[in-house]
Amino acid sequence: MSRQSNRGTESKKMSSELFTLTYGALVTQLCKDYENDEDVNKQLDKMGYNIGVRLIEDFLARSNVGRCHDFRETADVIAKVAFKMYLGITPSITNWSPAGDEFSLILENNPLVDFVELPDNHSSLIYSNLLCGVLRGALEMVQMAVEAKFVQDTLKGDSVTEIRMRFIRRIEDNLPAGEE
Amino acid sequence: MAVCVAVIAKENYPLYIRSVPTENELKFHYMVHTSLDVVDEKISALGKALVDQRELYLGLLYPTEDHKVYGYVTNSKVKFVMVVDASNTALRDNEIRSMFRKLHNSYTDVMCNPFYNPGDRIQSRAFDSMVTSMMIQVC
Amino acid sequence: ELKNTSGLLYPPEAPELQIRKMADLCFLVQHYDLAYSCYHTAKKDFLNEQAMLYAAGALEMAAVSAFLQPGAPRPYPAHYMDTAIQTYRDICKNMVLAERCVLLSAEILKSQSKYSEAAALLIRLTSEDSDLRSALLLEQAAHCFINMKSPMVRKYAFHMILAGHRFSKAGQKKHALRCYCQAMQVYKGKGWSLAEDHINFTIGRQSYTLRQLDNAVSAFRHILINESKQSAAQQGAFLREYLYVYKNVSQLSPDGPLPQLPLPYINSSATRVFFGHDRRPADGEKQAATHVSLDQEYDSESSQQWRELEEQVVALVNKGTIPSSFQPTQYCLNSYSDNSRFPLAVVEEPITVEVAFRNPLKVPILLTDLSLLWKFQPKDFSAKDDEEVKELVTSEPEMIGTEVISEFLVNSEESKVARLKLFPHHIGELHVLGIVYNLGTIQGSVTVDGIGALPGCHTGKHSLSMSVRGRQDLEIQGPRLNNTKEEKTSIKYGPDRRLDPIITEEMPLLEVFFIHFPTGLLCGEIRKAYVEFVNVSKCPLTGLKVVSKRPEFFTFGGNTAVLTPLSPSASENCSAYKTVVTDSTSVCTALVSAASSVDFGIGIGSQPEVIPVPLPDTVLLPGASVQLPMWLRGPDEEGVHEINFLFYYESVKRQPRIRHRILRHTAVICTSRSLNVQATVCRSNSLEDEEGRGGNMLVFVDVENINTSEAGVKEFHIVQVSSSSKHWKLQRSVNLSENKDAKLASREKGKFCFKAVRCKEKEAATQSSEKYTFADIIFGNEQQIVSSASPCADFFYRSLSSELRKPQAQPSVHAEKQPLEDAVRLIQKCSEVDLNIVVLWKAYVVEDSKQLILEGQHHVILRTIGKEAFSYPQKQEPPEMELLKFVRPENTTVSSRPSVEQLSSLIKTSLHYPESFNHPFHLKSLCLVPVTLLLSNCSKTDVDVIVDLRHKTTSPEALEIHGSFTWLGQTQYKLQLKSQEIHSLQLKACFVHTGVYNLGTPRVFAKLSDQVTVFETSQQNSMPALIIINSV
Repeated sequence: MSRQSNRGTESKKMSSELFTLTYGALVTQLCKDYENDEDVNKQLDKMGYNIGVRLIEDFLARSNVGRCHDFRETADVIAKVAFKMYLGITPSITNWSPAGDEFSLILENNPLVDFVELPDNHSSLIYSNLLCGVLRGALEMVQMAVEAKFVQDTLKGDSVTEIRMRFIRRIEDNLPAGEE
Repeated sequence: MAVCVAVIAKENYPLYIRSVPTENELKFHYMVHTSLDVVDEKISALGKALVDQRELYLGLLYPTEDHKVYGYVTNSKVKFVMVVDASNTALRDNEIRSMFRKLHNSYTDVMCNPFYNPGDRIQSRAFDSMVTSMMIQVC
Repeated sequence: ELKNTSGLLYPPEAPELQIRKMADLCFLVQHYDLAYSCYHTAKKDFLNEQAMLYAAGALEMAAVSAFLQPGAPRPYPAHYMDTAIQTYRDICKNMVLAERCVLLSAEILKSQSKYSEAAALLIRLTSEDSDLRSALLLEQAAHCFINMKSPMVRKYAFHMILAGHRFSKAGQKKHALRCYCQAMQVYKGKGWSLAEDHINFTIGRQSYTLRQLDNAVSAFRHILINESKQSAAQQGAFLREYLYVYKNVSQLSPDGPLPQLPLPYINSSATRVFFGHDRRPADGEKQAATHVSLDQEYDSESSQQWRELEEQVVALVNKGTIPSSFQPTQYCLNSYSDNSRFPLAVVEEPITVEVAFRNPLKVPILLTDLSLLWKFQPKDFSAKDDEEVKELVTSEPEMIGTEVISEFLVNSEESKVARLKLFPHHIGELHVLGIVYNLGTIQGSVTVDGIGALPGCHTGKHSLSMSVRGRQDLEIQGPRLNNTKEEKTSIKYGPDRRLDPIITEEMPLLEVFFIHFPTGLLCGEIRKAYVEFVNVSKCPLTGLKVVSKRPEFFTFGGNTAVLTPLSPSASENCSAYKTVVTDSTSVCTALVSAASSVDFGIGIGSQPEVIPVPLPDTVLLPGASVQLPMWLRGPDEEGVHEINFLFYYESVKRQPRIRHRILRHTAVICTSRSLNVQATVCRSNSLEDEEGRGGNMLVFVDVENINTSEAGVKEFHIVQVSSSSKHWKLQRSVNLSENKDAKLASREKGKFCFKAVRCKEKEAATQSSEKYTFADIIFGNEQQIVSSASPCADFFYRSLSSELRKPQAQPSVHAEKQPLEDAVRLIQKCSEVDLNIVVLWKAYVVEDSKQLILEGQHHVILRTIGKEAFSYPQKQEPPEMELLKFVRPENTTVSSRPSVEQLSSLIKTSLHYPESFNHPFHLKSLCLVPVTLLLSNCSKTDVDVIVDLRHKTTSPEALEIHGSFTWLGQTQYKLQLKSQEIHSLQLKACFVHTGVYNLGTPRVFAKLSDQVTVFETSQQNSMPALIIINSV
C-alpha cells in the first residue's frame, strides 16, 4: 500500500468494534496459550513495545511536533496529540511528582475495553497492557527511558483508568534499541 | 415485569435462566423447557412463509392458569423466553417487545466480550443487572 | 347390564332399550351404518327423557360406529365423544366409564393422527384422586406427544416425569423408575441442571428402594459433583441419602478398593508443602529466627532477595562461581515456586502438606480420620536400587510416620485448609498420592433446646453413623510450557514435583536465637545483643556464615578484639564499647591507636556481605550451643527497616545431595532521628609547629540534635570525637567553651573545632597497607572509648566500605591526554584529603520513668577541602518543579580541566605580624613593621610562585580597608617552591598614620612548574589581616 504524500491529518477510518474485538481476541488467545496472567502481561508489554518503536515514526511524520524540551511537554504531546490521533480519546494529565519526573494519565473511557468484563480467574491480568508497551517503545526511540504502568483500571472496579508514567533517564548511547 | 427470563442456545440448552421468587424455580425451568416445543413449532411455521426481518418476536407462546409465556428468536437461532404473571394485565404487547429488544441488546454486548465463548453460560454482571431491572421486585 | 344411576331405570322391554339393542346387534355384525342411525335415535330418546347415562352410552357407541364405518360419508363426530365423557364424569359421576370412553376416544384420535387432541383429552381426565389412573393417562399422553408429526419431545419428557411421579405415589416403583429413566434421556446433558438434578435424585431414591444400588450411587454422585442450585435442606437430604446408600453398597463389598469421593472439592494447585519443624514462638527474652513458615504469604520480591543472598554465599564458598547443580533451598513449595525438580527433604524432619478444601454445598461436611496417602520407595544405604514399592496407608509407621486428624469440619460454602504431617524415618523416594478420610455429615443442625449447632464445634455430638470411607487423589498440573516452538504450538505442561520429595540422609539443623534484640533504635545507636547458635540435630555442622545486604547494621567483632562480657546478664549495665579509664587532665589531646581494616574483615577484595561467624571452634557439635555477642548499629535513615539475615552452614561429612543448609531471619528495626553531623575541613593558618611540614588542617564539626520525640530523649552528650585515616590524625580540640557544646538538648547545635596534623612517618600508612590511625578526643569526664577496637572500628570500617561502594563521579581518563591528566590530578590532589570523623555520643532517655543511657556513633567522611560532608545526606527540599531538560549539552565529556577553585589552592598563604604596634609618630613619622608572609606548597610537585605587593584596586573591599600604607622592598617576588615546602618571605610594611590597616594585600599567583602554557592563578587569600597602629 503506497503512502499518500500528504499525510496531514488524513486517517483511514476503521470500525471501532472490529478494533476492540481484534484486541480482545488477541488477549484471550494469549491467555489460552500461556495460562498464567503474569506471562500474558509480559507478552502484551513486549508486543506493545514492538508496536511503539514503529509507531513513533508515523506519529512524528504526521503530527509535526518538534523536540520536547522538558517532560511536561512530552506529557502534553502524548495526551493531546498521540492518544487523540490513534485512539480518539484525550486523557487528562494529573498527579505530577515534586521532582517533575512522574505523572498520571487519566482515561475516562478506554476504547480497548468496550464490552469487556474480566472473569474472576483472571484477576491479575492487565488487559490493556499493550498501551504501556507502546508508550515505552515509542519514547525509547526518542531517547527517553520511561516506565509506564496501570494503577487503576475500570475492568477491576475502579472509576477511571490511570496510567502512571515515570521518567527513568535519558538514553545517551548510540546502540540500536534492542528488539525484544 | 417478568417472573422468569431465559436465554436458550440454538441447540436448545439454557445459557441463562433466572426466576424470582426462587422457590418455584423448578417449575419455571420445566415451563421454559416445554415452551421450547412451541417455539420450534412457530419457527418452522414461520420458515415456510417469507420471513420478515422484523418478526423476531414470536408473541404469546402459551398461557397457563397464572402465567403467560412469550418468546423471541434471533437470526442466529438464539431464543429468549419470558414468563410473566398472568394477573398483570397492564402489560401490553409493546412493552413485551421492548423488553425483548433490551434483552437482545444486552445479549449482543455479552457476545462482544472476548472472554465469553459462545455456548458458555452467561456470567456477565451487566447482563444480570439488566435482567434484575426487568424482574418483579419481590420483597 | 346398563345401570341407570340417575334414577331412571328402563325395563328391559322399553322401546328405547330395544333400539339400543338393535344398534348393538348391527354393530356386532359390522353393519355400522345402521348401527349409527340406531344409536343416534336411541340417544335422542334418552336425552329427551334425561336418561343421561344411557344417552352417554348411546353417544359413545354412535361415535365409535361412525368411526368404524369405512368410507364414512359423515365426518367423525368427535363432539359426541366429548359430550359422552363429560356426561359420564360430571353428571353420572362414573369415572370408570369415563375412563373407558376416554381410552377409546384417544385410540380413535390417534389412529386419525390427531395426537395433540388425544393428548389433551387424556390430560383432561387426570385428577388428584386416582394416582394410578392419572399416571397411566399421563404416560399415554406423553407417548401421544412423541408420536406427533413434529414430535414434542419436551412435552413428552415432562409428562413422563409427571407420570413417574404419580406412579410412585401409587406405589408402582418399577413403573415410576421406568418413566423417570425415559424422561432422563431427554434431559441428560442438556444443561437443564435443576431438572436433571431432580430427576437424578428421584432415580436414585427409586433405585435404592428397588435395590439397584449401583444406579443409585451414580445418580447421587452426579448431583453432588455438579454445582447444584438446591436449597440447603435439599442438599442435606441428598447428602444423607447418598451416604446411606453408599454405606450399604460398601457393606456388600468390603474388600473393594476405596472409592473416590466427590466431596469436598480439593483445590490441588493450592497445595503447599513445607519441609521442617514448626516454628516455635518467642520464648521470653529469647527470640527465635523467623525463618520460613506456612503462615507467611508468598512475596516474589522477598523470595528473589533470599535467592540472591544464597547465591552470593554459595558463589563465595565455591571460589567465585555458582556450581551448575545449584538450586536455591526452598522450604515452602507452593504454586509460585519452581517445582520442576524433586525437592529434597531430610530424614527425621517432618514434612507438612497443606491441602485446600472447599465445601460447595450449603450444609457442613465433616471429615474424620483424615490422613495422607503415600507411596514410598526406600533406598538402601549401600545405594543399591531397591525396587520394592510399598503403597502404605498407615500401616508401617517405622518407615513414614503419618499424622491423622480425627475431626475436620468444613462449613457450608467454606474454603479451609488442613495441614497434615509426615515423619520420614528412612531415606528413599516419597510420593504423596492423596488423602483418605471418612466423609460424613452432622446429624441435624438443631439441638434439642433449639439452639443451632455452632460452626466449628468439635464436640462428640457429631454422629458418625453415616459416614463413608473414601479417598481423593491429589493431582497437580504443572506450568504451561511455552519455550520451544513445539511447546508453543501445542498444549504441553511441565512437571510439578511438589508432592514427590526425596528423603536424604541426616543433615545438621541449626537454630538461632536472639537475646536482647531491639526493635527500635535511634539512628546510629549502638546496642549489644547476643546470638545463640544451637545445633538441634545429630550431625555436627561447620562453615557457619551470615549473609546480609546490610552488613553495616551488625558485627560480631574483629579478629583481634578482646571480647567484652560474653553473657547477656553480665553486660546489663556495661557500655557496649570497649572503654579504658584515662587521666582526665589530658582532656584535649588526642590518644592515638592503630588498627588495620583487614582485622575487621574489610580488606581489598573481600565480600563485605558474607560474614563468617566466629565460633570458638569451627565445628558446632550436636546439641551444643554457643552464645556470641553481636553489636547492632541503627541505620542512618529514619523509618522502618527490614533486614534479612541468611545463615549458611554445611555438614562436616560431605553429603551427596545436599551441600549446605540455610536459616532465614528477618529483623524489623524502627529507627528514629538522633543527630546530624556536618563537617568541613580547611587548611589551617596558624604557625607551624616543630615538624616544619605543611598540612595542618582545621576540622569544623557541627552536631545538631534533630530528634523529634520530645518525650523520649532528653539530651545528647558528645562523649568523644575520633578520627580515622591513613595519613591524618586529630591533634587537639580547639574549643573555647569547654563542655557546653558537648551537651545537646532538642534542636540544639554544637560546634566543635579540631586541629588535625599529618601522621608521623612510622604512623602513616603506605599505599598498600590498610592500616588506619585512630585518634580520640574525649569530652567531659567520660572514659575513653577505644575507637580502634570493636565495635567502634567495625562499624566505622563498614560505613567506609559502603561509602566507597557508592558510585563516584570519576573523570574519565583519555589516553591521549595523559600528561595533562597527571597535572590535573596533582592539582586536584591539593584539595583532597582523606580524613574520617567518628562522633561518639550518649543519649539520656526517660522511658517508663526509668532513665536509660543509649550510646551510638556517627561517621563523616571528608574528602575535599572546603566542601561540607554529612553523616547522612539530608533530603533536599525540592525546589519548584524541576523541569528535566532534554537539550543535549554541547560538551558531553566531563571537563578534564581543573576548576579555578582547585587551581587557587595550590599555595597556602598566611601573614604573621603583631596584632598591634605602638610607634611614636611624633618622633618618627615612618613606622616600619616586619611582616612575615608564609607560603606553603600544598601540592606534591614544584610550583612557581609570583608574589605581587603592588596595591591594585581590584576589589571594592580592598579600597575600604587598606588605607595608605606601603610595602618596602621588592614589589614582586618570583619563587619556586618544592613539594610540601614552606617558605617565609620577610616583608616590611610602612605606615604614616595611626589607624587600622588591612595587611592582606599581597597577591600570590601560582602554577605548576612544568606547565608552560598555563598562566598563574591567583591564590585564595585569607581574611583581612588587620593591624592596629597606635601612637605612643
